[in-house]
Amino acid sequence: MKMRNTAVIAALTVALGLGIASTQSTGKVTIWTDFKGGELAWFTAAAKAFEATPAAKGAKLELTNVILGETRDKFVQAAPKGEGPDLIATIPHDQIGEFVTAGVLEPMTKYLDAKTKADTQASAIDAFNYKGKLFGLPMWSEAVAVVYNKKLIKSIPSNWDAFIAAAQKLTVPEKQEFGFLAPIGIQYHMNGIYRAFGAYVFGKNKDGSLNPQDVGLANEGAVKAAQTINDLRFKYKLIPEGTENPDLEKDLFTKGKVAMWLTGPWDMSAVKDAKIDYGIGLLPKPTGATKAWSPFIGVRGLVMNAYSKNKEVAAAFAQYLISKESQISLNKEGGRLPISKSALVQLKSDATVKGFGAASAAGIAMPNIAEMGSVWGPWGDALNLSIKTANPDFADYHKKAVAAILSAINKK
Amino acid sequence: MATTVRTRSRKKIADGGFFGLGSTTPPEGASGAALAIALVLGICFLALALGLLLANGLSALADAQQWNEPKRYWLLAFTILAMIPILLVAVKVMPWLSNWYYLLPAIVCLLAFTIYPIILTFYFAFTNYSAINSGEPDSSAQIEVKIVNPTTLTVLGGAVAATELRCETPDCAGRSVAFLDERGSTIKKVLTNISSLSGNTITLASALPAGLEASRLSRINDIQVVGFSNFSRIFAQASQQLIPVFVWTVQFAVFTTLINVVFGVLLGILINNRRLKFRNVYRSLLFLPWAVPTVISIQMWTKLLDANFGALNRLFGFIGLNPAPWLIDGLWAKAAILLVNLWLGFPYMMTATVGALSAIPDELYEAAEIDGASRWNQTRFITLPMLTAAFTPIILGTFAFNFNNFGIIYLLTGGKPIEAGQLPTAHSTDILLSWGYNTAFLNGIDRGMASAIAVLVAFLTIGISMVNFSVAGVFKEARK
Repeated sequence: MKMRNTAVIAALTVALGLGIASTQSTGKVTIWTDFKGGELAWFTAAAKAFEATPAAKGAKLELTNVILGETRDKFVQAAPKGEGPDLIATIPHDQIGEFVTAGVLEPMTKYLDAKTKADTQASAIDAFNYKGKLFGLPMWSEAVAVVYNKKLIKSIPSNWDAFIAAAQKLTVPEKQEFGFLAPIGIQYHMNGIYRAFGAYVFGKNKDGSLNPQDVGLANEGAVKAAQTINDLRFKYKLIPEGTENPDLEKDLFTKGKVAMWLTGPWDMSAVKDAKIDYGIGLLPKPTGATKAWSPFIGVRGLVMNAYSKNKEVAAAFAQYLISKESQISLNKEGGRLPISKSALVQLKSDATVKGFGAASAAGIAMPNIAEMGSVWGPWGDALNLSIKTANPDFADYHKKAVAAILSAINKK
Repeated sequence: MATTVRTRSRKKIADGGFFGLGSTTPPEGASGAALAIALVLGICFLALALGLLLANGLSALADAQQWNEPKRYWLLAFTILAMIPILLVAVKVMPWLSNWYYLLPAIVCLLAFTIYPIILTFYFAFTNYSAINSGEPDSSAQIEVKIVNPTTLTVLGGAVAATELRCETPDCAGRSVAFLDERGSTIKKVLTNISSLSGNTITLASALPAGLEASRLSRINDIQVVGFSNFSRIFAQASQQLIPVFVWTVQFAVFTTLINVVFGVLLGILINNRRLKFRNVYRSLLFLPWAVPTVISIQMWTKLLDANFGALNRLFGFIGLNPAPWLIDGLWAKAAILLVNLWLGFPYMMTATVGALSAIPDELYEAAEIDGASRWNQTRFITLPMLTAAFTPIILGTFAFNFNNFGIIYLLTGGKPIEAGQLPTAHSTDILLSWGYNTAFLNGIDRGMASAIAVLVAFLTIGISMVNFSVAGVFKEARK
């Protein structure tokens, strides 16, 4: 009895020891992705195609679906413990700073060969550069633009007053028909208007780097921009309460009830499926603005876990995904803007590429420093308060937001 | 006289001294119990030490080049495994201890999943732990190095060490760094300190182990102890965050308990009436809110309460009332939370009432009828007093549960609506717990601050519970 017990215990111990050893290396590459619908199908097909190539070295690719907003926290927690993915497809470049300082990203300078580098837009490579090193392979870029239904409106007027008048003529809230809808509560989309009036997120130092202490979201320009956004709802009555929800806007637009809609390439898959005869254009420069409308450019790229045990295969898959052919087929599926110069030339007659490309050309890249993570929350709050009532104190909200941002940045 | 002699001799016979070595009778009294618990805890810690040795030893055996720590749950498994021989030995030496072994599973779980996290939370509350200061190597402060000798490294590739590592002092003295060697598929990480830096040469404070190849040196973003600065920040912003959130949490817990109990008791009394026709139908229907999983039903309520398109406002329009700004206005959102919580909670109260009522003997009512008491007087002097006795624990429990009812706040409003003067981590309907959650996982992931909030919430909860218990007379009961 005693001998048997000891034998059992010994066997268990050895099994546990082997268990530890077996968690070391696997022939499996884990990838987190936030693709949905048609794009997810495209991605799964690409993964299968890659597995058949010799560069995959027989490894299996396992795709896990994650929600974009949750990736940040999950990845930072899981990676140092060896439980993160090998690759994430993809993250927006403004999160690079936080990930890198948390030590979870692998520098990818050596995985970008010279030929691909020459073919990629310089701004895309810049977006993934942090303190002089490249931390991701850029895959596509995106910027919001105004998608319009050609059946309801021929083109977007280039004069702000004409634009407002045209939108008002088409707005009949009782029939759920709207001339112009935009997610006016989301600071990412509204950045174009803020920039047009001269507000900015981070100011620049003399050497061109960003100064996190100089937050320009409470200056006169920001107040005027908030007033303009507020007017869209309360003065021009274009975007009633509840219609600033992007899901609702997508639903109405794909039903053909909305003439103009401010959105990004991520919704183009749904628009194409609904067979809407669409066009893409820029928002006109608002009255009183000093610059043209200038949205955020987000570059999405593939990043690799610094603690990954399958770096070669993961890097090979990343290089496969950012090849020119891959970018073109992804664009056909959804509407994502390639960052490969040759792909852009090939697709230059495609409507989505032309439209969002123009928006990108007018836009500005999001800052990618670690302090960016502290900006979204307070800025979003100030914007939400600004669109709640007809005559709020814009200056006060934005000043408080900037104070909150600086206090969060400086306590680190 | 005779009794004392017997006890003393029983002790002498029974034990081999103070520890009762070799005897089967446990030492008596409170000191005996304390001794037993102390021994059980001692066994746990001894097993932990053995488990650590085993875990590290076995992982070294499995892969001689394994540099990284084994995972924590392996440690727990090995501790439990190591406990078996210790228990067997202890039972040989002190047979009476085996009576106390039933405590072990509870103690191990308590230590591992309650005490250890509490200690860690207290520790982190005094640090600046966040996504950036995570104790991990910083990928942006990395340089390629070559090993000259076990304490000296040279920088490769023409990079300047001081600019790349970006330490606070120009010579990086005392800074903790990680040396990473990535041959093959395992990453070897060695933690050490820089003793000085000059030009291209880095001198380490401790020698690197043998068998490493040149690779990278990374600066580590240490978790630094910052004393009370997290707490002072909370109190500096108290008027914007701590006080409004605390007031709303207490209001929410008090009002929801009150409303749920009153409503549930009323319905219970009505349902309990045996002369009510279709009583069983009513009971089944009223029980439904409890049957649906709350995660699903709360999200449905979010849609029903939508100010523009929700069914509730459309109903209001039908009967001629103005639509209400549910979830948009602060006060209406709080009312919405109380109403949804009522919808979720009254079946429980109703069922508890029916149960408590069935314990009241019928003779009391019959006697009251004979004495000529009206229905209202019967309810007031028989039903309610007996219910109060049964409901005290339920009320205390409901209050405590709703004080930390994260689920309904997160799912129904997400803490919104946003009102002027609030910071992004705590909006109009955030309770203390959801404020802590927002601090830990949103907006910069400030875990040190969230731990400080958790410590504060713990003290507040204990304080409020003390007040509750003394008001409910629980301490008086215990002393009886």
